[in-house]
Amino acid sequence: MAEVTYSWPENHKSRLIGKRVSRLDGMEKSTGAAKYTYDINLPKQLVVRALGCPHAHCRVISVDASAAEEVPGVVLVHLIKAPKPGDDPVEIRADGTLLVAVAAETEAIAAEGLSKLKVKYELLESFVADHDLQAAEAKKRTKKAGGGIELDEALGEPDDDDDEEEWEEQKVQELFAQSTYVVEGNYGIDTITHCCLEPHGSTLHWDGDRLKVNLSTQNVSRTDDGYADALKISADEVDVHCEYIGGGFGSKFKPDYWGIAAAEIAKKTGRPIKFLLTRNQELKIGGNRPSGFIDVKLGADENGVVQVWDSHHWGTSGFNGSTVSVGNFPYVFRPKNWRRRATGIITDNEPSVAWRAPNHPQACAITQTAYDDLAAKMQADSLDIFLRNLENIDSPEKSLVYAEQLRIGADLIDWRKHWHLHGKGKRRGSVVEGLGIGIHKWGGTANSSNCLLKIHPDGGVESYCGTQDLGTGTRTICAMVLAETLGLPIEAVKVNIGSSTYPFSGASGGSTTVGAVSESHRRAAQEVLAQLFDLVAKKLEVPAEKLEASSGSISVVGYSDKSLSWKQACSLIGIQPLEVTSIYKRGDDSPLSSSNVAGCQMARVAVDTDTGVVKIIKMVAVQDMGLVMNRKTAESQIYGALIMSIAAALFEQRINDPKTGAFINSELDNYRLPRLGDTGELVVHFHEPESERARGVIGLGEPPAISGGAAIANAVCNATGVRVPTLPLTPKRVLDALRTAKG
Amino acid sequence: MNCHAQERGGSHSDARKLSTCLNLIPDSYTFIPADWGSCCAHLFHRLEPDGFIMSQQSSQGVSRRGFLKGSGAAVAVSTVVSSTEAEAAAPGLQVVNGETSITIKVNGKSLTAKVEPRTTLLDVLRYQFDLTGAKPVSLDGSSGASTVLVGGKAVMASTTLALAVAGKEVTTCESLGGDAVPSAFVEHDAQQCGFCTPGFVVAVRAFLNKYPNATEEQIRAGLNGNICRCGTYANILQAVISLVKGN
Repeated sequence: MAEVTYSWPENHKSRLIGKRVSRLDGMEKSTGAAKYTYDINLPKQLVVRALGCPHAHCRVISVDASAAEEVPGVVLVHLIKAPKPGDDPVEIRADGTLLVAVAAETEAIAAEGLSKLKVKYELLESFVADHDLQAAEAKKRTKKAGGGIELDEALGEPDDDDDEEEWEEQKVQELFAQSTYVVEGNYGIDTITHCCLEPHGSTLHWDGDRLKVNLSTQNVSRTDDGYADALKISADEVDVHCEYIGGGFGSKFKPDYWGIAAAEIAKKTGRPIKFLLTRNQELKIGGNRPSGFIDVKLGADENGVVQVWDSHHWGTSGFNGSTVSVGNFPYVFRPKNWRRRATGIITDNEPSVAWRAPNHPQACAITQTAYDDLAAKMQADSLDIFLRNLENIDSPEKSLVYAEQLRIGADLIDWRKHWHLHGKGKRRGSVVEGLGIGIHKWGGTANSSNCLLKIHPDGGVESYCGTQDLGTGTRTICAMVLAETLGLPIEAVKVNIGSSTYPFSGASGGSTTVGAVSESHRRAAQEVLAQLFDLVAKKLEVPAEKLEASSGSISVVGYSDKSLSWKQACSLIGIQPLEVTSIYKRGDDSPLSSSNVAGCQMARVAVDTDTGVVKIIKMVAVQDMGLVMNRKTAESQIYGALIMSIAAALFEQRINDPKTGAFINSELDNYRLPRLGDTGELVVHFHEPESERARGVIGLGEPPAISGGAAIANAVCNATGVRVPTLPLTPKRVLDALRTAKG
Repeated sequence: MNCHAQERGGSHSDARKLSTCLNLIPDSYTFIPADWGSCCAHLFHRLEPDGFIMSQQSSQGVSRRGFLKGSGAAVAVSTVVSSTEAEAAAPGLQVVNGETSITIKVNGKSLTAKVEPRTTLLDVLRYQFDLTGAKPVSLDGSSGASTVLVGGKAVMASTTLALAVAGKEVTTCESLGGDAVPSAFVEHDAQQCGFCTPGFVVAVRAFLNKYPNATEEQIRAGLNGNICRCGTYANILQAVISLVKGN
């Protein structure tokens, strides 16, 4: 067999790749046939509910479970983060931390059992004011979170006897003194929660010494080690399954401590366990994204090109006390001179976890707003200021891409028609309109992925891969790649994913999955086909390189009468199926995938200055992504990302009670998310010049979820002429900013 | 809805205006079945006069005992449980205690369930009938993920007590395989993770039954009882528009 050269088919030859393909499991999802972790009921299972700590900061002194244990139907009370009798108190640092679990015959009995628990707490002072740097410093709740400085080489170096910091300070001040425009501002974005609609959790049982877990996870292939470590067994004794997952967004990579508790309870009771968080717990401990607040000073030349950036930002990632990573400040833009530092604030909240495009949406929202304020100060067109500043960005090779994308976006949102200077638009009653921009970047390198592909002698095709479908349509992508390569209809391939017993595939995080499975499935299919071609070549007495697979047959290129049907070809395999396991390792140089995308988003909003309500009129997303795999699901990713951006820009925020630290809006009636009527007109544009196709597959999940917040915030500023500094831009914040501006 | 307790600022007129701008409750969406007494309104999202949805605590207050069952249309839920004795009932009402068997006609089949007064329709569907399409996303009903049809009207199975639907007809997403709505959802990719999808599918079916010729504006105003976290609203909108056009 000749060595296989991996490649994608040319555009005109693609039947499936790059086309609009409906997701294969769409009907199952729409009619309830798709079984999620929460839906799996095992015979004789017990349902577990856990008591969440009602205090943000306390010590749990003791637990009296006697009354709970007497509730008919309660089988076991299990301590999670609470002291056994005689043990030292356990300090709790976050509202909602799970203390005690009750396993019972039904959900209702478990809840009744919980209500009978008597827990003694010693309350401790809590701190949750993540926006208030001075208060945090006074309470010794701050931690250094990095920083740095870079000055143009032309400014020289400090002399040996200079104090370096003093010298840098002097240079920075000189740069500001030389600037034509200086903007000082403060901006912020609150913590939001992942709020997966299927809460975190598992339905599991022990089969002898083997733990079999149905887990709502983004990481099918690699959560077994987490169970193994905690339960002191080996990873080969753990099987993890997840056919369908009801949302993850970066929060479902591990078994989590409640998952370990579920396995322990199953062991103790000898029965299968279903343990999923309640809605309230999902919001409190299921995952959150760090907040960020910033003081910025920037200096620009007469053209509005920023020459010096100086910022200090802070925020919280919970009780581990970090904030948004400082490395991306200012976001995408990178003036020749910058100084930036970050301070983490230790608050009594659950530690944050990865959130779709970790750090990027916050960095974008609190730094590109400053660039827009520069346009406001200059009374210039924001689009011009963004375009001019493309001369100083962190990936200079992308500046022409951004410029083109901004031009496309401006056309789609009709920028020239609707643009007015900040605060100078027409007013209809109390309503004003405005336009805003954000730009973003992402890597999106394919994750590692292996695929076992079997071709049966009767022509059957099945694949196995330990990946998962977060909602991006992974299963459909796998089938498309196999069917395209083998020249078969998509229904002819049976794709199996969602089990740790299948070949390894990396976690779905960081826009890595479509790239990963495209690599592994294309490789496996090309290799299998090469073997099949050898058999067919012998039979037809032609060279293998003259063969092609299409329309359900293998034929000689240019001689369609000289061919074998797929079935006939497969009958040449012999008795045993043809099997290939492909292996792709993240970072391997490959013609099939690459990384680094750019994108821009624009928003047109209406603001009611009497009520402070912001409505989205229209949003436009322009995005490159290399080779588009499934046009339909790729488009859905971007629509969804725009809507998530609207959520964080206008609606959602974690609200902690300032005195008790309690997370007070942890239900969906008051943790507000946008609904269908809140989204306005959304326009998605794939930026795909021919050069994009040649880059191969690049992940798409994160990038379009980044710059919408900045675009909306800037549009509100353009509409009102007033900066509403902190996202979400709730009616009260809008009204407060308008009143403050009036003086 | 407008939501942030500590941030509900503005004057009363502001609030009124807000209610017209933000999540309007679709009038096709029946949070409170019309024949249910106001005495069980605490179990539901209550429609306030100014248009705000006020959420109240759900089944926490309902015990395994004490469901007052009316002989006619009146149905009440006792929230106070002070003894194991049967509570006194007003004339015409009957107190149901402990576990009883009821029959519900689900997707055309009569099914029997063992329920306590606190058992919700969602519990019965998911744990006794293995119909897991309706999802437990927010038990107070604010997500719409547990939407099913009772007597043709959309209700949240999570805020509907099983005893209250005894003898009634319940339709879940599982029976809509041949309906045009799921096909339109697939065609327009109106789903990502899919956890909210069954609830949305049923809500759309109920909406279109009432407004088969809905305009885009009506669709945008009329499907705000359900939440999708992945952000499939744009696709759902397209799916519903295509269904209306198909009529």
